[in-house]
Amino acid sequence: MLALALAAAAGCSDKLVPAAEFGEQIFADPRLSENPDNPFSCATCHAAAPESDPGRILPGYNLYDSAFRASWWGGFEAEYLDAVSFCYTSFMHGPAALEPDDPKAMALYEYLASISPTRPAPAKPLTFTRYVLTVAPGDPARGEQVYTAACASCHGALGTGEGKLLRVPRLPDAIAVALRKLPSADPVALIVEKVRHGQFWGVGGMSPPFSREVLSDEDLGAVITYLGR
Amino acid sequence: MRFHNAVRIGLLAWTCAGAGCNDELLPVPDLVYGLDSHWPRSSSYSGVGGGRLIVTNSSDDTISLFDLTRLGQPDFAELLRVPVGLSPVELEGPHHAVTDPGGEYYYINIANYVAGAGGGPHGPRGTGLANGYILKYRASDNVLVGSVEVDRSPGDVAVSADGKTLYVSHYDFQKIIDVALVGGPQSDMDTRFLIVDAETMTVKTALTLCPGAHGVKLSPDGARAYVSCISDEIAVVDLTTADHAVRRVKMAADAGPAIAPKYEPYALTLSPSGDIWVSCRTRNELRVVNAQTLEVDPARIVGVTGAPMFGGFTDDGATLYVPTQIDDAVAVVNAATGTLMQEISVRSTCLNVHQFRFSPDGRWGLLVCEGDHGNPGSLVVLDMANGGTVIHSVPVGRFPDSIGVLRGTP
Repeated sequence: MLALALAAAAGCSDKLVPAAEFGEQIFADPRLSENPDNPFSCATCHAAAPESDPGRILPGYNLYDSAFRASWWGGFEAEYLDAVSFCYTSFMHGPAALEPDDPKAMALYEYLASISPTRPAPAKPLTFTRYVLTVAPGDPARGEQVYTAACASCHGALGTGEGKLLRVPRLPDAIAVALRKLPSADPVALIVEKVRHGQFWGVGGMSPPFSREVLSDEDLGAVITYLGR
Repeated sequence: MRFHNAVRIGLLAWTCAGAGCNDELLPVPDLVYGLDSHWPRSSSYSGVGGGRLIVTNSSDDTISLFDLTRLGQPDFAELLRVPVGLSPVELEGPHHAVTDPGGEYYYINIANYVAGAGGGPHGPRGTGLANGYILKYRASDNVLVGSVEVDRSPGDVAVSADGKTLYVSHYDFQKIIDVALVGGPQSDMDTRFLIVDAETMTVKTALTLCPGAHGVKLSPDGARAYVSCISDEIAVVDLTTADHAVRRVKMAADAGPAIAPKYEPYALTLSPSGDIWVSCRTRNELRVVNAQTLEVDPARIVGVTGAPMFGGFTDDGATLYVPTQIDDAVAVVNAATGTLMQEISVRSTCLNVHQFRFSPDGRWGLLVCEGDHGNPGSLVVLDMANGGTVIHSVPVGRFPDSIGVLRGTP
């Protein structure tokens, strides 16, 4: 009775929500991070459906059937909570790793477990290039498709940035800005590094890296050509 | 179904509303949970058991764990491969591990050195541009429980006998290069020696030490730390005084500078008596610093046939076993006379031998072999009761470079 009274005083519904249902909601809610500057939700980078949308190229793997994989992050995370927490702190700027007994974390787990029927599931490879090399130019028509599928959800429409996420720069403006800071840089190499390394390897910024498994060198070359480089 | 935390959540919501919370915060409703446990750990690791060997694989960002009790047994094999590091994206170069004497934790340097990792923050050995870390792992389940940021390229780490303090050197070649390029003095090449509170994983003290500091050993009484310096000297740190005075001992009268060492101290091996045996890589020599006089003993300069690395003494201190690279052998040295008695070739099973140590019972000699750095290295076990015969050669990760022993008892 006391709990219901307090909940009523807070203006909350007295309805109890299944944790998995709440977990599905927060999977797509940037406020999971508690950082008011964070524009990303889990859904920004990950699908969570049995079949991936062929019209989207996402930097993260589909999290359907992810909860019981043998390992994550190409084998470099042995525990699911650690794998998710790395995303949470690195990309969503969460203040600290998720605590396993935090209600939001528990709800998220219940959702992810509910969409993970295969137990155990095989690990997935994840190949990040170390030395950044150039890529061959590609078909700009394909590049436009790749841009729409891989870039537009964060960067918005090319040029206008329409539909972009807050605090994510427009393209190709951001490339021009970077080149002004690094006038001797090869533009293609600069883009390749940003796409392949994201915010890591000292690059900085917010973006995740695109592994070779999710974005081929051919598609990367095509989108660079589409960007006018 | 379970009703969990409903009261707590309700109270939090009431408190939040009363304090005038940010509307952007994610409201958490009262939840009903369908599972009894969340985020279960997937590892079936059985814990430390009768003891573990820990091998750091510096180009893999992993460690290899072995069951100490299976040494000499036909089923001796890698027990578990554990990913380590702060980032699963970048290879960070775990370099040397040290174990807490109580067996509860182990500590790993993140040196940000990985061969072939590309330019930028993770350069070749000693030229990484990003600060390193010391990571603290709980031994029972290999969970990262703490970390502390240190300087670039941590070289070696030692732990005090009570497990409360870590001592960290830095093998920062890049600093030497940067200063040399502008013609700066050698003193500007000095790295720092960090003294870390192991419980809180915070830096307590930072001392200016020497250039290219690497091997760290503590005196048997814990009163001193000895550190090899590429500038043809070792540093002796007084751990008993508040100012931690540092004294340097040159390897010879003709010692060279950091940019052109003639002796190149790299590793230290401490005898049970406390004398400091210095592995001088450029000269293929071992030089002994007397612990009482803090002078190099001219009567015990031992020439070996390869570049000496990290060695180990028999319990009685009579014999030193030092691995030597290039020829990939183990030099067997009479410690009292400084005489090379024997060389055990391990070339057929061990490429780029890095460290030798005895198992806690003294029965087995343990060698970590770097390999060619592109393919897996190996842990090689010698039967010391039978002339150092190789009885195990087990593949580990890429570029293994240290062996730690966790809670082994004689």
